[in-house]
Amino acid sequence: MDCKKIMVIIILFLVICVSTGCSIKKDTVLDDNQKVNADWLLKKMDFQNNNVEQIEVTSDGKILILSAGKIYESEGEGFKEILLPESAAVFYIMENDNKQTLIVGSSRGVLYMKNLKENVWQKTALNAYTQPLNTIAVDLKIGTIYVGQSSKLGGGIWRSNDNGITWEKISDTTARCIVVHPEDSNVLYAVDRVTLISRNHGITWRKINTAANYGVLIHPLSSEKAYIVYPQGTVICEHSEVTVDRQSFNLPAPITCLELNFSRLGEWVVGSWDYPSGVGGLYYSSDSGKSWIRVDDLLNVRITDMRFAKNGDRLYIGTADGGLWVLNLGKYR
Amino acid sequence: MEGEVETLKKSGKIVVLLIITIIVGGSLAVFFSVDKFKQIGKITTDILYRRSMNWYENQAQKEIESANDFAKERLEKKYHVFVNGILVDNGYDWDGTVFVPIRTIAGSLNWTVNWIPELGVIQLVKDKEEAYVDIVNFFGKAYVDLDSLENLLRLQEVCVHGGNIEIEHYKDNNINSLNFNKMERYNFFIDGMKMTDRAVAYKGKNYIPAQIFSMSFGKTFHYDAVKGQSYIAKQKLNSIYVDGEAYSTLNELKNLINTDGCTFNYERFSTDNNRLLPIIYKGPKKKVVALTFDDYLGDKVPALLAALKKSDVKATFYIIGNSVETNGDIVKAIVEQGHEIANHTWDHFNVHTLRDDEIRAQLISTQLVLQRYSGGSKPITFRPPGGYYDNKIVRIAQEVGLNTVLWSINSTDADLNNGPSVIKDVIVKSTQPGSIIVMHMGRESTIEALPDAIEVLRRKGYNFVTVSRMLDSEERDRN
Repeated sequence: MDCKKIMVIIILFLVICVSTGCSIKKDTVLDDNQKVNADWLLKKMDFQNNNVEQIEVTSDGKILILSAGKIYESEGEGFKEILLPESAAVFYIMENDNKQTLIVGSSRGVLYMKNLKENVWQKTALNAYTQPLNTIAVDLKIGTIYVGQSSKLGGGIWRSNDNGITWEKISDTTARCIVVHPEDSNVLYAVDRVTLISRNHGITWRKINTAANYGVLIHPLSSEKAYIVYPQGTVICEHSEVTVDRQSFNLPAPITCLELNFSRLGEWVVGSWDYPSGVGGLYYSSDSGKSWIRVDDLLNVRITDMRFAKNGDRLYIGTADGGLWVLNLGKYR
Repeated sequence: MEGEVETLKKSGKIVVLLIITIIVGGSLAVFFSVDKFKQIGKITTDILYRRSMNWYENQAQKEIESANDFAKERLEKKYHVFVNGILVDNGYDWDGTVFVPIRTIAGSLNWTVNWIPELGVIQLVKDKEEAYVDIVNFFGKAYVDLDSLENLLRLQEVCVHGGNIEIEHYKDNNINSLNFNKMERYNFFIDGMKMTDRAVAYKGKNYIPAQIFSMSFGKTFHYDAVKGQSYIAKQKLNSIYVDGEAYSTLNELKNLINTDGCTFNYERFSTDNNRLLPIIYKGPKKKVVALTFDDYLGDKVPALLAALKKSDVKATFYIIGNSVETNGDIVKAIVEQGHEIANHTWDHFNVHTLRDDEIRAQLISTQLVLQRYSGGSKPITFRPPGGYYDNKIVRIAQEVGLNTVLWSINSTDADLNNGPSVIKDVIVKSTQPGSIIVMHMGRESTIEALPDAIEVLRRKGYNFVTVSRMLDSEERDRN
């Protein structure tokens, strides 16, 4: 055989080998640079590969994040840390009288408050167990603050009617989620081992006849119903102990969190995640959970928390070990 | 002559050049993608191994292997869970979160554990307390993350260290656990089936693991970890504790469990060095095929039997032991109609999640119950649920007198989206001489697909045999 031909074959073979090696795609879970484009659907905001546990959004567009016991506030394109008296377990932004008050529940059961613009913290007289506080809820109509705790030492529900100056324990029932009816201050929900409802401002509580205990959602534009979340969907009640309907989402993995867009009826988002397979991700619905579209770029990412922007056009998404993301909801409309 | 020598020299150089080229090319591929090279190596050996299988059989084999790889990888970081000093179960670390089985642990603290299927949650009830928890279903067992469980049950103390999770909660027991390594060790057999290799002698008496003995007879065993008391079918059991596990004498156990007709014996401990029987995926290269049906007995099985009878076909049924007692007449019918009964374990757990003795108990209990309800027929083959197995499991099955049988064709009837035409298609296109086809008892689509599928295969010259007939004929051929 001609030497030249042999050399050509050899060179071709080597080129093929190199090309094969180069063309083999390595698995990437999340690659920031791939996600950003000019006309974007989804982009990564910050926190690299950290765990984002809680997100809150103010009416003026500020974003606050809880990650590894610290709270961060958005500033320009990035975030700055808010100095805390101790490690945080949960927080809330109360907006009233043109003031923004940051309320922080610590990992040791202490509640702190401060004006978001100032640096001085006020330690409240809340007397909870020396364990993490779990939930903070505010009834803006009457200015009542609720705090819930559920720990192995015990817990309860506390209430303050004077902006956090004095506190009263209204129930020994443990709670890791408290929801206030957007219109009726007498109606409260508390969720822990079971889901409870109070129709007298927290004085007495009744168990709702459901095992669903992931959380409660009430849409302010359709507040006659409460959605009680369970791993595969929601159970619906009309602010009584009796459930009236159930809705299964038929997603491939159990729910980790569910949020309703308070600016638009019917627009829901859900995070789902399955152990130990790691299957899950983020799903969007425009028909109140009857059908779902998967957000492909967050496939198999564990969603820890989500918040809609106040105008409802964006969704901020916290992930486990994947940082903070924002979804452009305009792309789905 | 000189010309020939020249030609030879030239050819030799070309060969050397080609060899060098291959080495260099391969190195370049490695350099640019190390992971892929490993896969290429594996694929090459796979191709050589599977050269006798068709595409469907290869797919079935790959599914089994990848499922086993996945299970082993997920079960690698294992913990022994002790509640108040009593060994209760195993937990696992998945992605940095520790998960523990909720039934055994909450049960040992006297919570009643109920599954709420419509909501996919577990309900826990104790006295007037009630709680609900979402679980992770891992191959039939319900797991919850340890932190949630600690909070939910208000556990006093939880400590994770080394390979143990130690939970202390209002401990009222004075358990003095003996050290297994300081005791004389025995193998213990029920009707010639090895139940445990961890029987011990203590103060002149022989003791066997009480929970395993109880499970081997299909009886419920309960640990009250608070009081340090064991129960079989709610009756108190006298026991000692060895490495946190309850042990009792055979007489104590026989007082609480009916063991009529069973023989028991002890042997000095020794490991089994007998040749490991091969795992069976497929039969001989003859026009025989084995139809096999897995899982629970129930009201759909008579229709399946009728379809098989109409087509004059004998099949093999891999039966889950805990469905036998309520369907004893169906077992009888299966045997009377000439089909074969086989072992599919008592609870259908992934055997990778079980301790060795638990696997033995799963097999023995199913053997005993099938024998009882079939009028004496004893299964000789076992199919691990989900196809999860390893050499250790094969040996354990062998010690119970069972060959391990998998399958070479997956009918795909476990996918509820697949209707009769899909199932029939898969069977008809994929069957080769010696195929063992896996199907499931509870599927109406399978029952519908069968007559046509059988008819087509028969026209192709296939005979339908049970698994043991297939193995027999292979043995005869070999001899």
